[in-house]
Amino acid sequence: MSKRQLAYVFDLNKCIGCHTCTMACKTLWTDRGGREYMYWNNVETHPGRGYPMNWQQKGGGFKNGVLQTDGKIPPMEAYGAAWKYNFAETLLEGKSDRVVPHEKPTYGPNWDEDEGAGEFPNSRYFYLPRICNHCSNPACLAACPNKAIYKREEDGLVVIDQERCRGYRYCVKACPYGKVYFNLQTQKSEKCIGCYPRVEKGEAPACVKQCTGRIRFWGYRDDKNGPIHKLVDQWKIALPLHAEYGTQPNVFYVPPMNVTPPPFEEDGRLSSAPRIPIADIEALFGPRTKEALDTLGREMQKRREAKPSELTDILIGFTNKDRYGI
Amino acid sequence: MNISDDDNGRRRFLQASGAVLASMATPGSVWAFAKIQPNYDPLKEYPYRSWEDLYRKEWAWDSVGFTTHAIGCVAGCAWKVYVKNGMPMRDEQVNEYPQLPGIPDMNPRGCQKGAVYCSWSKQPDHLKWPLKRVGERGSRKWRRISWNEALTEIADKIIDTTVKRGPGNICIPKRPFAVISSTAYTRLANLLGGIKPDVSSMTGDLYPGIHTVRVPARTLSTFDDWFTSDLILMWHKNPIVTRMPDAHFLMEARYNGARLVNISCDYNPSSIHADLFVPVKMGTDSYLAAAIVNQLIAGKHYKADYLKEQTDLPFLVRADNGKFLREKDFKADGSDEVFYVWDSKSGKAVPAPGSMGSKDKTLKFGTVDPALEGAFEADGVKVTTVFERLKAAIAPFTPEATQAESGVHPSVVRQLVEWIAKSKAMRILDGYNNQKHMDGFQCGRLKMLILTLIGHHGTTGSLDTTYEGWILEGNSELGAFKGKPGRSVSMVLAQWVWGEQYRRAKAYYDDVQLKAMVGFGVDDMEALRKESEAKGWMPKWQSIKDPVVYINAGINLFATSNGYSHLRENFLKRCELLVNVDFRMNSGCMYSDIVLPCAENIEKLDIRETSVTRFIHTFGQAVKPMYERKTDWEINVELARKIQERAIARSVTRVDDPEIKSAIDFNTFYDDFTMNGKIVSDEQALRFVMERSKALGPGSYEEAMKKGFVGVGPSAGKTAPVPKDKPYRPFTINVTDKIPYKTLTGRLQFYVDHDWFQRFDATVPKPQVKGGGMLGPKQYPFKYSSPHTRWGVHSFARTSEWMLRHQRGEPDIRLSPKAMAKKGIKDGDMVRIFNSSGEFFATAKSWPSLPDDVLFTEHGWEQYLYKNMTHYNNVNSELINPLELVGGYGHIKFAAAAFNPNRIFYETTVDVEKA
Amino acid sequence: MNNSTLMKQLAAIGMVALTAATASLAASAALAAPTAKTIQVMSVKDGDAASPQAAIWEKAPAAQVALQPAFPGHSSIVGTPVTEKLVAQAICLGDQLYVKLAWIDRTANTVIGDTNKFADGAAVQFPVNGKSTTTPFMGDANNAVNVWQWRADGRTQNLLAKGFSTAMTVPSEGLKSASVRTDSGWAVVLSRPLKVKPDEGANLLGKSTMPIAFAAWDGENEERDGLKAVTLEWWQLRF
Repeated sequence: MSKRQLAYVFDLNKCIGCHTCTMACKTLWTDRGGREYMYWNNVETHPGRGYPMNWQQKGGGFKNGVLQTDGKIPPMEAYGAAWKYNFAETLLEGKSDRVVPHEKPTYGPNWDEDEGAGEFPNSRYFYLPRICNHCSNPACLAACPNKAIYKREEDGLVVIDQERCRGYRYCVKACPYGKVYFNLQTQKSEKCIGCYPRVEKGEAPACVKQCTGRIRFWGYRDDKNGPIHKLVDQWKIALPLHAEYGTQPNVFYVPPMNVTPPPFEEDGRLSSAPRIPIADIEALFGPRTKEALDTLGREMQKRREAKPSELTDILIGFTNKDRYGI
Repeated sequence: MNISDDDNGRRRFLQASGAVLASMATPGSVWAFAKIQPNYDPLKEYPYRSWEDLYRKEWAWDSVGFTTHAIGCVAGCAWKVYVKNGMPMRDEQVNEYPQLPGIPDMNPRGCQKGAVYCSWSKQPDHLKWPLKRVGERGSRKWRRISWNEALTEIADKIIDTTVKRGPGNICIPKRPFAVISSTAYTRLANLLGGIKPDVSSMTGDLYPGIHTVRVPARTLSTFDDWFTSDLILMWHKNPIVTRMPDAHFLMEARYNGARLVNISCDYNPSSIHADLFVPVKMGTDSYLAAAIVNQLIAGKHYKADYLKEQTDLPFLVRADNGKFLREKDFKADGSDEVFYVWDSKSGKAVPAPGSMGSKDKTLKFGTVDPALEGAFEADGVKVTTVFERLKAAIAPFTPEATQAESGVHPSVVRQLVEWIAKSKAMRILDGYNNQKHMDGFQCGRLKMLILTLIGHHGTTGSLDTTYEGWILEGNSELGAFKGKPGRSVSMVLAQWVWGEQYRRAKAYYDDVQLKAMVGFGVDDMEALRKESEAKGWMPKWQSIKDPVVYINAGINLFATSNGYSHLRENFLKRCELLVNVDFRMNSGCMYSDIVLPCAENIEKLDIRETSVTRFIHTFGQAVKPMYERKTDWEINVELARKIQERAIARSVTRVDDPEIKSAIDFNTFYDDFTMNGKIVSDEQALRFVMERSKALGPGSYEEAMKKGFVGVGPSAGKTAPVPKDKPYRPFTINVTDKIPYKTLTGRLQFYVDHDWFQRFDATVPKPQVKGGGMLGPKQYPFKYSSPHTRWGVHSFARTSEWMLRHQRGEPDIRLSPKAMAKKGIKDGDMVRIFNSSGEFFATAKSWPSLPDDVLFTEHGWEQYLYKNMTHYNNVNSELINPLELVGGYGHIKFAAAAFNPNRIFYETTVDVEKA
Repeated sequence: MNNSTLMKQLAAIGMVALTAATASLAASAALAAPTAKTIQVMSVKDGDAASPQAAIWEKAPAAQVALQPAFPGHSSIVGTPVTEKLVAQAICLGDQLYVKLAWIDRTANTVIGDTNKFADGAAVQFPVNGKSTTTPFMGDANNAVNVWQWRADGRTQNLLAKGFSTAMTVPSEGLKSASVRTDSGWAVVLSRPLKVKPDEGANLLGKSTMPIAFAAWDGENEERDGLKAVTLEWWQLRF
């Protein structure tokens, strides 16, 4: 293991699906050089096919500790190309009658936006922001025959050596989260780097620091006073996404509250059923989901009764320092 | 025209990025045998880490400046702009706002639109130099011209038009949303006697209904105040989508014990975060609101003491004619702006202090105890209270009785009422979409009533509209010129006439249906408009002037209105010179005769004031204007210089303007505009504004340039001081200091006895549209909803390729899966949306969170992104609510950005088919 | 190379876990290999051998080289390569060695045009020390190999490796390639000066024999890296 491990908590009850994180990452790292199609950070509507398309069915990861080799390498159509527009031709030269993408878009990083499932007024959806999980047992690392992927010992960030990578894409295949991308221009695989150049200068990652919904908590796992330890280990309300993939992710999620707002009976009265079936959320965050949501519900009720709650204060995250220590 | 990309800075930029790419493609270091050591565990260690510099070098810059992004946006956010090789590379929020005690801070403030601004600004749709049309209007064939050529043509046309056609045929709408950038056009219009249209009503952003209750209608807490609430109703507002930088306060309030309620016709992104979702049928919210009021009153969930003092509910109304009891009813020379309450102690009618006609400028009744309820006789006149009349009017609107209209089950209303009744700090977030419905006028009054009945207005809560400006005296001074008031108009009325919207509405709406539902048809609206103008209630310029010269700044000209193509064709017939000033070629610019490129947000020196935060934000000119762009201020100064120069050359001096008792002084135009050279540069103008505004003052300019933002002082608030250690909340001084409201009655006013309000049975707040629902012809099965988008601020940022790639790449509409199945439409199909007044094309997207009878599209798409250059506004048709034409009644009179007919177009119905 | 040598070499380069798994494959391959695997280098003073279509290649002796699946080398490398054999020729022209490879590959995968696409390829490998005792499986920690790799997308790379997982690109200006589609597959010429700087790879100047190994990748079958068809033991170039 690396000596220390940086980790993240994303509170899905705070996520507003604004994609500011995505654009912060995009403009910092992936708007050039063959990375245009990549979203190291993406936000997808759940339920939905996600990004890359159907990543939850792509395979990879570990089973009983054994690296799985059944993973798929998503083709570009599963990501959606970064299509271009004919602005100058249409607007400045009058040569075309419409500004259109250079190719017919068929998929993109947010194709299923807000769709979800169910039927009005009982439909359901929530936002799932995703970055590299900087796993403690990364499948990408295990899969690289060239040992060109490693965990930085000082912070546990998982990075791909852009000199030693040979573009074989075993990592793309192995990552069950679809979070490693192949750069067609450089012929190397690339992924979220945890903004290590910022981290080294004492700056939080762009997606964390620029998250205007303030859903992102960040810090070292071993910092007992930090929000990660408190939310993950002490309050146990932040859970890894698809822990069964066996990679030991270091991004944890506060699952979305599933009982509110209440759905409706046929005649329009309020129903006592949950809005989102708990199984839907357990499918992402595992069997501890309900316990986590119960804890959250209990603490929120305390606040409604004007009693103090350490947990809700943490989740409010009054200042940047409260959320990520800087 | 020459559109080759010959700018040095940009070429250097491209070369620089090319070099970066090359170094990525080839390993930089020469291989050495020492590097080959396979025996390591990459989970623990890695021997070759020198490559990591690759990414480190990508996070680099030469300088950092400040900006904010403000076209159409009311948020106001402090951003840093990272500049490398002279090029703006990247935006990142400043993230350094101070925290108020016990309240979450505002960091980081700014959304994804701000995050891509630098990238967007480099797209080819952003303008570089002045362009002159060489083909037909709209053909998008241009010739690059010099500023001198452009300004000379405009100046000559202004002089010619004024001299030959008379003053007032020059129209200057503007919306650059930055202080000196915007006020430059106000000053220009005033000096020219030009028409200054109210762009707020044009875009449907007014709250005339609420204006009858309080002044200003459009006001709000700073959004950090949301955190203090225990019950927040999001009503006609989808803040998760439209108020991104502040949305966290909602979630954080929820963690702090608040309940969030979302009232909407669709299960939108704000609904998913709510504790209660209320699925009201589109356009019937007045019925839901009436049911809530009904239940609050029936359950006696109201705060009598508060109502007696703060509202007109105890005011006496005559039983015989429904008019307020007025002083003039008793005395021949009595005021008609002094009103009465019934003093329970003395058992007689006594004048209420604080009204417009009252000399007593306080809300305090002293020893008088006004009766809220009862019927009385005052000097032989039978009277009752406003509250009695309200109770009687609202009594039929029980939850059971309104379910048919609103679609909301009575148990849901009761659940909501229970929470409202129990709330200790309630807030309503009220969006613009309310008043885009015919019944929004009355619904707005009802919403105010809900908050007021339980005593939260001005105390523990607020009805927050979308924004308001702070008081900046320096800005008012910058725009004003003594003796030259210019010509204000309602833009809705101007387009009703110039754009032939009347003709279009008449062709589309079914008068029989209209008369059955609201009691008047389109011809009646036209007659009432003329009557209002004849009475001097609404300005009449649109009826006697033409927009011969039209200088449009920062507005997407036709997209912001109804009947895109129809409006454009008719409007352009009256316009001889159309000038668009913008930083990009928006759809409206396509039809220009001359396009002037203004500075990008990152290139201007200015500030943005909006009262959703306590901060003024800096446009810090992170880079100087690139290419041939000029700041808006500079453009106006240069135009003023050219007007004076041409006037002197042509021996034109003063043109009298008796209609507004003014004159246009062409030969001193530049001297007047610049205060004889005092405010020539952007910095001079900006310092003028900041240093002469009490809430900012000397030193504020320097602070803003140093930090990217500057806090306002206490005097910035219009209805309360801005506290140092608490969020700002409006109208608190009316409660604490008993200062009268700026309404006719001096109170929160729920009764309007204006003749027209009586005529249309609207003296008290209650639903106006009979049966509820849409006024559009029933033959079209879909209600048409086109609210604000997540992916732009109106059309701002909408053409950003990164934004487009996060959607379907081209304009889309949404339908419920059932509606799609019924119409034989599949996700991704190109469809035609139509009604008798127009059509447009878009791809269909499935949205299970829509009712089956709503067709949804987010607004702001550029016309040129649509197949056949159609547009989502092609199908909209508008109506005028005569209640909004009223004047001559205390505070209910024409006021730009406050009271005039709002753009009502959410009554449109459409059909759809596979294209 | 006999079976026990192979096992020893695998063990030496740290592939102990794989040793057992690949033993049977290695054994069968070793047993099946013919005893004299020699390619006669045709030496000429002048002419043009750079193009696979050059007339001169008609005169050069051709060796039929059987290819076997390479040892996977890593647990993530799964699948079976499809190329079964190639024809190898060599010409020494002045100070330049030209090696021509021709093999059957029905689908031309010439660009990595998509994130899940791979290009066809071929390579020759030399022990840097010139000795056949170097393991042909990418060398080992003490004995480097030099690989000239042609890829159908036009990238030709000079690689050095000291065992599995260690291949590194090393710039070598002198390494060139030319390729042509034949009726049924590829013909490729790789060429390089006999003598290069010590850091750039194997020196071929003054050798009478030089061990050489071959590999081919079929992009259509997603072959890359260790998923390849190779010679499991050294052939000898005879100058």
